[in-house]
Amino acid sequence: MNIGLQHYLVLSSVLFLIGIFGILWGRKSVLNILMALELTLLATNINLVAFSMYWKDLIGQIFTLFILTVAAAEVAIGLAILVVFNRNRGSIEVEDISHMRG
Amino acid sequence: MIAALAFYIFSFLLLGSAAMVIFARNTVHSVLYLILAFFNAAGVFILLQAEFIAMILVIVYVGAVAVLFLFVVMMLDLGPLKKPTFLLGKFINFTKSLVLIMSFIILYITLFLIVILGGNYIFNEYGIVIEEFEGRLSLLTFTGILVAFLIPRRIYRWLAKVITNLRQSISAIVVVGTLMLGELVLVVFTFKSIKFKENFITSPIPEASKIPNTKALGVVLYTDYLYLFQIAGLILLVAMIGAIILTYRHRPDVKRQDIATQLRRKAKNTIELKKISLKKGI
Repeated sequence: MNIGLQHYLVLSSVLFLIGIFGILWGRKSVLNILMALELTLLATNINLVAFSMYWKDLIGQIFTLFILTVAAAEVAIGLAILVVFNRNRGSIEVEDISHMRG
Repeated sequence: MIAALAFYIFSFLLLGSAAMVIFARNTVHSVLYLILAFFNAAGVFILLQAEFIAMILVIVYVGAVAVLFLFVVMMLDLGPLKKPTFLLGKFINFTKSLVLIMSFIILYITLFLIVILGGNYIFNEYGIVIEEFEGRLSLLTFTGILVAFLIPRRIYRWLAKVITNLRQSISAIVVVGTLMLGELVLVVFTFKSIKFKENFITSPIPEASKIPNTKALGVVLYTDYLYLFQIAGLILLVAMIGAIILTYRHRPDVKRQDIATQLRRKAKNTIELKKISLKKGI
């Protein structure tokens, strides 16, 4: 019943795939895509921290901190764009964001 | 034993709530499931002895990011979502089947490789690798239960529908599948030949009883990674300014206080004295 590195790797890979699936599984709303993106970043963080503990090296945790920072910035900008888009077009559905298609 | 139990509880709750983030019809529900997922991820981090990151996850993600999501959901006033359709309605069959096959290929090959390759490596106090057959068995059951749980019946039904549409896009799927398989095989065979240098660990984790995790992280972060830390601060600043500028709007119909105009007003420009003759008015 010992929990090793590979348990954490399985966990993070499944979580990553759930996130990827959520991005591609078009829910018609950009908000859900952003949330699925958060899940993929979380999976990356679990992977980094597990390897950090496995190699007894702190760098993995440092990188996790930077990933958290960038993810927070990305969410702030993404939600701001979403709010502006909703104000201009009255909808945040993915199919409505097609004005560049020509 | 208790640690293993805690790991299984946290990971199943994490994966279940992550799946519910995607499958929940109501957006508010999926944000709440996202919060649950972050809490359980924090539990997983605590099991990994990374307490600082666990606490940061709770404070930053649950306290700030998820609440931001919740604010935006409430502000946009979204109704319940319609039934899911894939992006790019034109290529619907193609994308659907491609995505499905790709994700299944990645899922199964990754899990297979992780379980089959090597034994079960266990962290111990001195970073020495121990291999145990028992651990591998538990890992196998863990992945098996995960795979069985994570594929709801809806996906099975949908899979049957997709397979009937497969004929149109079979060549692309074969190409992508063989490419990814080749890459994975390449990775596996080159991974075995990698030999690390003697001192490839640049900042080893100190003993937890002497220096706590937070202090150890701070010692490394503020010395070796000072410039990256500053750049991270800059990124946050840019994000803040960008969010403010994007959402700022000037409404012409709302009166606002303009301090510059107020300060520019002088008495001689605004007050005019007039002499009014008696019994005449202006």
